Amino acid sequence: MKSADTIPTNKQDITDYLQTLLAEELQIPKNVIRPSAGFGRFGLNSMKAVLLSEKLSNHFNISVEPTLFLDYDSIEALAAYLEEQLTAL
Amino acid sequence: MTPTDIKTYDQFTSNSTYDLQEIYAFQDQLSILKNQKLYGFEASHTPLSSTTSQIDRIDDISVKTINFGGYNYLGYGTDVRVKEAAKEAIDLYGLGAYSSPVLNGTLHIHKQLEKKLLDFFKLDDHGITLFPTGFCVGQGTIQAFMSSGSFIIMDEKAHASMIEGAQLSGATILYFKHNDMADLEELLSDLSDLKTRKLICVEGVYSSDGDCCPLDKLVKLAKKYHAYTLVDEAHSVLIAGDHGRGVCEQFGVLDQIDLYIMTFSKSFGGGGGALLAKKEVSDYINLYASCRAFSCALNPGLAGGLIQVLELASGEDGDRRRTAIKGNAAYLYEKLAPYVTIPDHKNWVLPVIFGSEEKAFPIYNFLHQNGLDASIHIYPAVPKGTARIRLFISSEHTQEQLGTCADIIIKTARTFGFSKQD
Repeated sequence: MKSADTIPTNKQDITDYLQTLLAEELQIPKNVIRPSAGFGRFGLNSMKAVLLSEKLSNHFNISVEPTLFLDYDSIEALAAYLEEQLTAL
Repeated sequence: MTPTDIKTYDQFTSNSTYDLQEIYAFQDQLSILKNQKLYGFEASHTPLSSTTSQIDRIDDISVKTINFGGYNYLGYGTDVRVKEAAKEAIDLYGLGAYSSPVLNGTLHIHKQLEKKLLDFFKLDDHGITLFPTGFCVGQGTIQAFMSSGSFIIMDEKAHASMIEGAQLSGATILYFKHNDMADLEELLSDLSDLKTRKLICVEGVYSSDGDCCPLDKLVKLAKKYHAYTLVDEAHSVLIAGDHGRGVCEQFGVLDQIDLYIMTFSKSFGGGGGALLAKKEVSDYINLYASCRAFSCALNPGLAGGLIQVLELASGEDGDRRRTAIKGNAAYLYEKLAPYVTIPDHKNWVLPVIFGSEEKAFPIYNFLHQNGLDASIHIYPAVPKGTARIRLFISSEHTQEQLGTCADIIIKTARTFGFSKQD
């Protein structure tokens, strides 16, 4: 769990964090992970979605369901949702 | 049974628990479908002719149907000359090859088939790698050609065999939007600084949608960004192109494709498959494609029949059948287009999308009960919500059979609420 001051809460920072996380976990160069890209581009299967949702839950200290990767069709759309959740805390 | 009682494929995927819960849940679902007389999968088919079948289902339903569900596109699988050639090969070689092709399983008839294929494609510096199944061709070729640290850029609708081969290779897999060359270029551009191996994987004619990949544009992009190309011509070899050399011939890029893969289970009417590639590449894949090296070689009866298919398909007989299948596809399209939503490519794979997976079994049953066998395609073969009836058109279908097929599809669309005229 992170301290509150290290958790990004605006959409841009969250987008950047998501790009970094995907790059590390999926072994993909970060520049390929464009904010507008859908998660289908990276062949995100259910196992990877569970892994990533756990990392996001731990990092942001909120509940992140694996199904969010299906519900949101791009990194920036998911970032906008997470921003909304974090702002509401 | 209401459609909501029927669960979908993804509700039974395996899990890590000891109790085999998903297997028993699937068995319960199967029992419900069998009791309701709705289960058309895994049925026993007996050919009555090249285009008709007797179907005996495991839920005890028996029907006679016109066959629009098999891949015998050019009718060669049931051609008497092809069957005789297969029998002769069995008489000479026996039932099997009895060993891996790498070790003791390569028979003289396999070498004859390789030569016949090379003659058919007219690419002097190429070689042929024979595989025991069509699935194995895509899987084994990609697994052998690619490795960890390299990149596979794949059309999002590429066949499961290519996806599994890509996963086995350890390479990083990226998907571009179906047939979207701008999206492909975006990916290639993003990867352009990396000097690692990159392979673009596409199909000639897509098995789910029946549309063609724009291979002329794809080859230009591959050259610009120094990527290799793999084209799966499973649904197009012997049919597309003036001489039946596939969509690669149609777009004039046959000699520019690095890995051309084909199955013998569709337009050849047999089984197995092959890779066509530069000789040195083919020699390498021969040994390093695990599913080939660790499988028994293609059975000799098939090899004998396939040689005869190539003999026929490379001449007037092939020209006649190629013309007939394209004419039949256009005719069925014209019959169906006013009533159901279908793509306008007029190819021999014709998808009629009904959407909801829950309707799949009732629709399949309805088709059977009305005398039509087709291919029901549901998730995970296609995205959720895009379940479809696939019609495989043959050169051997008569105009009367095409008309009957259209009538049954239109009746089905009206019954299940996917007619354009509702």
